[in-house]
Amino acid sequence: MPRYMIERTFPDGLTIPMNSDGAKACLGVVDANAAQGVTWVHSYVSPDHRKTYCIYDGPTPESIRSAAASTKLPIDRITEVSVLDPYFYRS
Amino acid sequence: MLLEREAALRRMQDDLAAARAGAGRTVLLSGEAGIGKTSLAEAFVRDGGARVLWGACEALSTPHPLGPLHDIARAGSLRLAPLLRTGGDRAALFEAVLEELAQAPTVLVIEDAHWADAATLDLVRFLGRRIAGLPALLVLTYRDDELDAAPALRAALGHLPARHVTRLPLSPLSARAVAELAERAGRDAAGLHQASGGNPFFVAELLAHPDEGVPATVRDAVLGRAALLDPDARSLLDLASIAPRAAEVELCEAVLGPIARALDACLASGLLREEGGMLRFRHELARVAVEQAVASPTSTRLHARVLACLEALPGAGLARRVHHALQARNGEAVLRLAPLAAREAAARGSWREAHAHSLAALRFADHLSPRARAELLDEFARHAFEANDMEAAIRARDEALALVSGSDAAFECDLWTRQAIPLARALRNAEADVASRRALGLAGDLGAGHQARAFATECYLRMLNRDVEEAIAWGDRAIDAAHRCGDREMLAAALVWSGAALIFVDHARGCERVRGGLEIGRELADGGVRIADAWQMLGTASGEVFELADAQRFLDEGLAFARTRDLDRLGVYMEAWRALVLLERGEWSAAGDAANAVLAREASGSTSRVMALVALGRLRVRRGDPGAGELLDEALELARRSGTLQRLAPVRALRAEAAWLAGDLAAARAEAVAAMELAREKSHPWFVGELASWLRRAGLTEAAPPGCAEPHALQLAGDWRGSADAWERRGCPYQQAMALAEGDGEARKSALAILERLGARPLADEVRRRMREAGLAVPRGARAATRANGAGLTTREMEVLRLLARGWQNARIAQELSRSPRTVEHHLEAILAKLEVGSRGEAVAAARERGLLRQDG
Repeated sequence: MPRYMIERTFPDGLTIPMNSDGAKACLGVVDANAAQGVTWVHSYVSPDHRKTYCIYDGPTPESIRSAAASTKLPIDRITEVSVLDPYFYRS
Repeated sequence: MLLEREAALRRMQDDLAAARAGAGRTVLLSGEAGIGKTSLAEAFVRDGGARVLWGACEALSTPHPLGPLHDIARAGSLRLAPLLRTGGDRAALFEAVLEELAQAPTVLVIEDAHWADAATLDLVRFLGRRIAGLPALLVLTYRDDELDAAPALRAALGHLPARHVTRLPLSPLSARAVAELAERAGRDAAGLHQASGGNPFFVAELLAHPDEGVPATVRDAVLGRAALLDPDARSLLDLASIAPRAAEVELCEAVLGPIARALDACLASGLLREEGGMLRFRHELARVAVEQAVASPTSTRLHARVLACLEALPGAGLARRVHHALQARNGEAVLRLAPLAAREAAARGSWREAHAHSLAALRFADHLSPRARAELLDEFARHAFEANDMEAAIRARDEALALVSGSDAAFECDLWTRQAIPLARALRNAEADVASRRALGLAGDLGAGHQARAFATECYLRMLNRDVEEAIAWGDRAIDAAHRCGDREMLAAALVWSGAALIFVDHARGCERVRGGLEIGRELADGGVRIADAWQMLGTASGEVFELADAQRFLDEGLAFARTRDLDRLGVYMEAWRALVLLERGEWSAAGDAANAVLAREASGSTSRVMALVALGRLRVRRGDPGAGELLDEALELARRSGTLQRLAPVRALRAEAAWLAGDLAAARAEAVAAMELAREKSHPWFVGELASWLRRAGLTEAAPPGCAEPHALQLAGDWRGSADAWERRGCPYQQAMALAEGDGEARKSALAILERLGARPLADEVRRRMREAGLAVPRGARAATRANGAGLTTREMEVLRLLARGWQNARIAQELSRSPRTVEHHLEAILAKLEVGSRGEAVAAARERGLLRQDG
């Protein structure tokens, strides 16, 4: 299954509280993704919480967009990516 | 987690809670083999938190006395072990068990109690009568499908006080639960519920061994039970196993003679059920296991006898007789029955079955005359074509042609005619043209019937090639010939195909002509083929000339019709075109779903696949999503194979669009040039216009070619406003934005608004870049949150909407948001416009409907 990086912008910043509400919000996203066959692997968040870079596995870019539509998360750009490990290269 | 056992589990937990308080109960977990009794009991004791004593009975011909208690002693019960070893007084032993249970909250499980020995059943009676005063649950699991074979258990259970007994009969899993299990295992659920009868053990085994047919464990379980039957009962079981689905009791008696005793034995074994005079296996898997165990000569003999009895039985279906004829290897009967069955299935529109029946006939056709074999092959090809297996259809007709070539001009002419259409559908258009010309060469000397077919087919091919005038001319000749010989089928086909050709130059008159063919199609006994074909022609041709509202209506009608008639090939092609139409109308996510669905179904190169590739490729290019490149390359390969304008032009235009968005003008030019000559040759107004527009955008000064479709002609003449209006009238927002993007500052702002709403990032970026270059003020990108809510409402507009939903007036909203009432009024106007409603109340309702507001908030 292809892997995608999804760039998102949150103009007012993204806040996920470190409590049961936050856990519920994350699980809600995971469930909605599952309906589209999409898996949220993990995300990187900018210090001001306005940009996120999310790594997702999914069958198609369309499935990623459908999942985002149901979770009401914005998408700036989807890029297909693969892993490049610097320590894999040896001199 | 166990599926669909929550209620039973909860009941057992409640019973355990009562037992902890000193009010114990007996729980009876019953159901057929493999239903999940043990799994449920295990899940219960795992989470119950009580002490567990677990013993099982075994299916030995002479059971070990008190086997379950020995299990419990072995597991470490110090109190019981010495008493069992000495084999002493039973009363003392039972008292010891009672004391054991009185000590602490305990669950005592006796598994497979249908195999219990007499002493264990005595213990059950003894404990069951005293359980109400103990902090314990006595859980018995047993099969209830062979209770007749365990009368002692039934008697023992009858002695238990009903007030302290919980009965939990377990049912088979629903189709939904089976589908969920399949999904968890990452496998296809198709047929699984039916084969397993919802039995969790069978489901699990089938999922674990997907390629084995009947898993060995299932086979052993079923055959173990079958082995206990006496020879008469076993014969009946074998007979029932060779009947797919069910066998009439009447039929079994005709084959075997009186069966009353054997029937009782089979029913008591739990393998068979009787319903309304029909015998069937409790599980399809069990049937297959028994069927596979029947020795081959016996099975052939049984099938032959069933066939003979069915031939005498009035009303026995053709399909059934074909089945037994095949299994009995009775070639004469297969050749007699299968073609009839195929025709019957085809007339009902069951193309897959028709395909299978005619294939069956071919297996026994080796000794027939060449002409007779060619007829069977032709028949097979017809059904394969309708079942969307083009390659099989083409191969079969090639074989038929080789058999009769030069010996029978009339038949050969028809074969060439019929070969042309699947060739075109498989994108082998040049070969299709050759086939059609051969048919035309032979048709000159033949009767009107052959001519009507050959002329109509040539009309179809010319229409596919967008040789509009030729198509209409051949169509008129076909219509004339069809009238002469009274062939309504060809009359309808010629009207539909020449009408489709007419649509490309005169939409209204073309549609009228196709509809004339559609009406005649309603009289035909062709399984609905002509009607679906007519809807398809109306929908796809309207789509090609950007009459999109009509196109969508026709395609929806046609898809609904094709779905009910099992006309796959027509349904898939219409679905691909539906994706294209939805895309142009701005329904992007629905377009993506439709295109992906077609690509998943249509793995090999076909007309449907190439159009779905264009739709999905266009979507990804316009969204700037990954994965467009490979779609565009495959589309080009398939379009080249067909060599036709209707595939090459859209693919080349799309590739030009992708190159242009990527800033590669030379590549964009090359793509547009590659199809331009063909488009001009065919004078196709829309393709010529589209390709000319790309050439102009790619930097060539391209005057509007003659006969160019209106929106393109206006754009090429520099009238971006007129062009944008024309696209808007046709309901094409992206095209409208492309036209506006070439206009003044205000127009470009409107273009950006449309593109933001669609989520067309690459073109929006390009428009912004060029506005900056031109020194124009560039509006900020719509904020991400705006794009997320679909209606394009800004954060502030959402705030206003939420306050509106509370029923507040503007003044109060203004106060709440520290804004002037006039600003709030502006926001309100924007909200009404974006939600396309006329009042505040409608705005709130529309927002709730679209999920922008919670139903209550």
